[in-house]
Amino acid sequence: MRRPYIPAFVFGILALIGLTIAPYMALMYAGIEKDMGFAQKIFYYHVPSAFMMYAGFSICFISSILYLYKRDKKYDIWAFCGAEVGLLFCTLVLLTGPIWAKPIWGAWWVWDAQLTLHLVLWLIYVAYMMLHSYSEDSLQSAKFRAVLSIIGFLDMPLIHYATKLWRTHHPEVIRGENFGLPLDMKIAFYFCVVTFLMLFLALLFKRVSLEKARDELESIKADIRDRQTILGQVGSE
Amino acid sequence: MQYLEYMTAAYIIIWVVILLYFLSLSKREKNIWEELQNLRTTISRGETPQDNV
Repeated sequence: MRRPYIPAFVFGILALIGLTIAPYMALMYAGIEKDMGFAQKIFYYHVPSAFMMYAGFSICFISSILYLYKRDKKYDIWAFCGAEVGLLFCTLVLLTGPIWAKPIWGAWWVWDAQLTLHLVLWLIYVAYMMLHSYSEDSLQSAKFRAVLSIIGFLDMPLIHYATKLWRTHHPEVIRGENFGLPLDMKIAFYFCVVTFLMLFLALLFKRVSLEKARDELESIKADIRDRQTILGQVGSE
Repeated sequence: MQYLEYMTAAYIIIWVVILLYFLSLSKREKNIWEELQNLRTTISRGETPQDNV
């Protein structure tokens, strides 16, 4: 019997509704920016993706600290799932950024502080996922991953404030209270942020339910192995 | 219609990546639940699930 996972389902439905309306909001409702033309519309998915990346890696960071403090497996599960979903959105930012940059800057990629730090962040969390996949000792791996996620998290404020700290091609992430946007663009942008938040939560809860099921499976297997060992010892005596 | 092709490319990439991730999640979930169900059935029958462990 498959367990229904209500949060993933509810957020999934909300995300589906949002994702159906979001293209209308971004393409039709919001006006066309006069200099960047349609390329500016990448903004409505690129920036919310970056916000969800921050959310995923923040969940990973907080859960990792809790794991190191309490050594409870559930925190490791939340940390790992936060990292995976955060990495998905980080990948989206890295893929859509160059497509936006090419017509505006005339180059797909420039090695300025913000973009480079973003790539470093992506590589840190790819290493995090590899550590989870390829290490056999799960307790040792969880400790290493927790430390790695704390190191990775330190990169995020640098990315956010890179435009203030160094001279970069990338525009400021948040420019004043209203993002420097006209009302129609602002409404479309907020709509996309909420939609991406729903999508993020749906994927996160689904991923957590999956990881809990995998954990349950591993526990049953370990239990069976223990019983077989005991039975083997009794039989040999 | 300035830079329409860049916007289209970005939007397609976003949807494809999200869809692929969702499909991979669903596939992984299906495999785990099948394996879990097999183990439960085998244990409830009183057999030793040698092959599954």
